[in-house]
This record gives sequence, structure tokens and C-alpha cells, in this order.
Amino acid sequence: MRASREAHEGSPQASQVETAAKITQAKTVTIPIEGMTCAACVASVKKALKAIDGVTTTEVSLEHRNARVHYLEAKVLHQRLVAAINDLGYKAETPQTSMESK
Amino acid sequence: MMTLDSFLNGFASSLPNGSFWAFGVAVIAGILSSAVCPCTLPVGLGMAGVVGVSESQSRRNGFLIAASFFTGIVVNLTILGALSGRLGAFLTESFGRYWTLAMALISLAAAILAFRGLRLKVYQLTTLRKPGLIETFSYGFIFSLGTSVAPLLLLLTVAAAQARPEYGLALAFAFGVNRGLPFLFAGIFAGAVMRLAHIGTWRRTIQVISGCALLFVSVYYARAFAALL
Repeated sequence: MRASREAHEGSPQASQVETAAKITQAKTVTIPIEGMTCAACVASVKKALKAIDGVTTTEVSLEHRNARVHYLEAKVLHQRLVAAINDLGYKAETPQTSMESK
Repeated sequence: MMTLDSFLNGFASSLPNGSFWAFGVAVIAGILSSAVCPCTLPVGLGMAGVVGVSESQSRRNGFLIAASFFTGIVVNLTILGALSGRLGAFLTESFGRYWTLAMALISLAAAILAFRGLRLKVYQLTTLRKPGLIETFSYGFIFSLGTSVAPLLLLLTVAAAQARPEYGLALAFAFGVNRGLPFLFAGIFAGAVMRLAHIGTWRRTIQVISGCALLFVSVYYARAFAALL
């Protein structure tokens, strides 16, 4: 009963567990990108995304005109990823997200 | 923001008709493709460098070099237009890695040749008398293989040309001519500047500048290759 009350009041242990879960929780987004014309464009997008803290892996496809990015939600939001691509001069659209837990 | 993709998708209803207007769209798409591709500027500078080196060795060769590069682009894209259904292989990341590496090495080789020309006397340069037409044709061919497949495939897809090889080939030719035009103009302009600049006096300076331009192209593609690893 006491343990239950602590959980309801948001105990430090509970919030620590929640924070730890967020840090290890990886998300995957597929970001549609317009404007890529060649491998050099792919390289630019890949380099820009990999430079963002929190991004673990990136797969940029010229054929499908998108970028599949695996990132840690606690460190970066998908809006930051979209903004990074737009800053290069390409047009990134709202990504479709999926959740992966580690 | 208007991209090449949105420009072509805007003509999704008219392109499949095979009308004269569709070829006009292909012409504009070729020019736009050159305008938006980040490789156009470095390779354009590199092409001007190659023309400069060639012009310093033998007058009027500069135009032949530029025309050879332009022809490489047009021939490649026309062939790809006929193959339209099979272009996906050229869009993979692994092909992109090999392509950027090839561009870096070819440009580096051209830069070395440009700098090496500094050590040769004029009579040695004239005896070489190699305009490098085959080499620049190949350079244009390889260049367009990496930089033009994606926009060409998009054009052919929107035009529903994959099922009609002859239509795809004609569209690709129109696209290719205009994709290559900026490089032809850059080469012609560079050649004209070299002829006006009293080549004998400025030969070595031109070769240094040309070599540096080609080295810049090599570094540009080497960095792209490193980013794709």
C-alpha cells in the first residue's frame, strides 16, 4: 500500500526509471525528401543527420527519395531532423514515425 | 519551395500524352536539373579547367573538349532513357559510393596532368597533341550516370514512359541536351577567355588555376565518398 502511494505521488525512483527508459528508447522516422539529384546530395543529407547528437544511424535513399533515421527521443526531436535537411536546401516533409524500444 | 520533383509532378497529366509540350517540359527539366544539382558548379569549374589546359596546348581544342564532355552526357542519358525500367540500380547507395570515388579519382588524375603540364616545355606539349576527347567523353558519361539518373527517372515515371521505350528515349534526349548545355557553355566561355588572354604569356598561370579547379572537384567528391562510408 505504501509502495502504491509512492508510485502515485511520482516517487524519485519512478521518475528515474522513466528517464532511463526514455534515454534508451530509440525511434525510427522515415522522412520524405524532395530535391536530391545525386549521390553527392545523399552524402550531404547523411552527413548533416549524423552530425546531430542523438542520431544513431541513417539510411538515405535516392531511389525512394527519403531518409530513414534511428534516433534517441530524449536527445533530439524529429523536427530537428527535418530542419537540418531543410537547411541544406532540400524539402523534407513530415516524417512517419515508428517506435522501437531497446 | 519549388523543387524539381514538384515541378515535374505538376505536369503529371500532360506528360504522358506524348505531345510537343511534353518535350518542352523535358527541356526545362534538364536545365532545372543542372541548376539545382550541387555538382554542377564544381564540375563546371573542373570542365573549364580541362578546357583551359587543352586550349593552352593547342588552339581550338577547348571547344572540342567541351563538346566531347557534352556529348558524353547526352549519349549516356539517351541510352538510359531506353533502359528506363532498369534505372533503379544506379540509385543505390553502394553505386553512389563507387561513383563518387570514380569521380574523385578521375578529377585527381586530370589535376595531376594539368600540374604536370607545367614541367613540360611548349614543344613537348604540342607533340603530345592529345585533345583527350575520349577521356572527356568518358568523364561526361560517368558524371551524368551519377547526377542525372534520379531526375531522369522521375521525368520518365511522371511521363509514364517506361512502357514506351521510344518515347522515353526521345524525352531523355531532350532532357540530356539541356542537362549538358551549361557545361558546353562553360567550356566555350573558358576557351574564349583563354584565347583572349594571350595564352603564351599566361600559359603556366592558366595551368595552375586549371589544376586547382580540378583538385577542388576531386576533394569535393572525395568528401562525398567519405560521407557515404
